Amino acid sequence: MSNRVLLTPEFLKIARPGHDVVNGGNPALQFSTEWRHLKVHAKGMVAVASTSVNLQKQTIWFGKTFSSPPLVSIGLYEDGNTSPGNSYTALATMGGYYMRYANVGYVWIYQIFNDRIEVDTNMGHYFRYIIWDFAL
Amino acid sequence: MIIEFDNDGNIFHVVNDPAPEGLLQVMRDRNMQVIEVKPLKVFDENGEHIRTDRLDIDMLRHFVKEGAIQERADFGLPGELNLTAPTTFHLPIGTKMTLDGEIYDLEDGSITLEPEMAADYELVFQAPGHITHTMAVHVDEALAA
Repeated sequence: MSNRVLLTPEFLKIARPGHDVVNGGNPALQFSTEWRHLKVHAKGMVAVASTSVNLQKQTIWFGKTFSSPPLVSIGLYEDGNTSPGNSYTALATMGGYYMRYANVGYVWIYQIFNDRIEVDTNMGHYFRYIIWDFAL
Repeated sequence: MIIEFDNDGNIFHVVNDPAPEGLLQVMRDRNMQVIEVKPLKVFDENGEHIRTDRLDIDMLRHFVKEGAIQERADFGLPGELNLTAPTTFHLPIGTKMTLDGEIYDLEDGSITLEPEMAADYELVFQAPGHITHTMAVHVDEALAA
């Protein structure tokens, strides 16, 4: 009969049915406290006014400095406020990357840093964001 | 919930509950205009907590005035107007009207619309503390000169 649960002062591991938690290695596991878990650090919504010509900057601070740029989900809306408008784009960015969308002179640039998101744009729009935190 | 707003009280950033610990201070340290809106705990006559009410912020309906969230007023204008004769509206002083991309300052708040050219127009009215209003104006026939 295989061992299913292993609890030590350092961790808790549970093996999948029919697998051994001691000898099965990671592929045998159904759960481990050593796995990193994703939690929501912050979420919110921003309304950016249209400038049509010059880029304006909007900064969203995280309230803490991550060791590396975190994962951020961003959803853009061309209209609407607390509910999605007819135009909706869902984007997810990995930390440190930036996106640029250019359509007929309109630019949206999102840059993810260790402690903030910087948005440079000349087109009025709304966006929702979720900042994820990999926490043990 | 953390609310960030501009000099006219317009809300442009909402951080949902629960806001990260320390974020409010980080934003204040950077001289950002912010207020914190906490959930309201409701208790019964025995002091038992029966529910928590959270304010649902609507960026178009709400604004910040004197450090508190307030409902925007309505201009009281129609959504559509079939203009057949000169019509005057008295709006709050400082109202801005946008027509064909041009912004007009209504210094004393009054505006008279005259059917000079048959066409369909879209007027947008904005004023601090008011819900931005769009009025479609239809002119069938121009007034004789």
